[in-house]
Amino acid sequence: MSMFKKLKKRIFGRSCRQVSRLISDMQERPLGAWDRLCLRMHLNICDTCTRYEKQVKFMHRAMGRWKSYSDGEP
Amino acid sequence: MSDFARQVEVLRPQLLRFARAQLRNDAWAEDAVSDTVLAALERPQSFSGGSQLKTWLVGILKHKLIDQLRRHTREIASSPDEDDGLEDLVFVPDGHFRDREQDWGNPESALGERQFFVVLQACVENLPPTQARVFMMREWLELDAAEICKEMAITSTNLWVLLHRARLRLRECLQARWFAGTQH
Repeated sequence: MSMFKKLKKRIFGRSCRQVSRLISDMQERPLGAWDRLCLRMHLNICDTCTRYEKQVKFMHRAMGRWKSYSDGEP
Repeated sequence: MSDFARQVEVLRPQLLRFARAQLRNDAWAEDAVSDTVLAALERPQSFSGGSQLKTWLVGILKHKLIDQLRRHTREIASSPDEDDGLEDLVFVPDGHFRDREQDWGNPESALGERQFFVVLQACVENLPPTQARVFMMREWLELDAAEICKEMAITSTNLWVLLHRARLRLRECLQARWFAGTQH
């Protein structure tokens, strides 16, 4: 396998299963440079994970709104 | 009963609902709410009136919830998360999402609907207990990771796995109970 193919495999080799974990972790901790690169490259080509990232962020906003319901709803 | 005490009592059911969602244990939740109400009635003068009464009470409740968790940490730690099969349900063996067509469109409109929050709460309550606790501690109580790990006696890697699983489950639940095929 050429160097280029090996590199490509390392960058694009992650499955949605692995990437979904990075999407969750991103809410909790700064990702390393390599993880960030793999995540970005994966999101460029994967609609499902792009949607999942939006869904995770939406769930965070929804929890915030739920909380404000309890904090000060009319 | 003073006017202040009456106002506090009116809010008790709501405090209890949130304490239950967080602690997943009715007895602990009632203890936490009772402690909150007592603390409020003992020191009504510390309620400035500047914020809403409920906001003030929730602030007290958060501390009482943490007290309860601290008191019962050993019980929690002895009930491990047994949800190893989840990822095989959500993903096919080659690592793709099983359901690749979950498009929530513009979900923001759901935030304006009270019914959505009933569904959200039900979905959180349906999580396995340990996932529900850490997710609520993180997203509702807004504790930082170090505090949660200390209270739950888990490592930060455990915490990330639990939050990850909770999010996967919530996605499935919200999809099934709210976003699937509905025109909201």
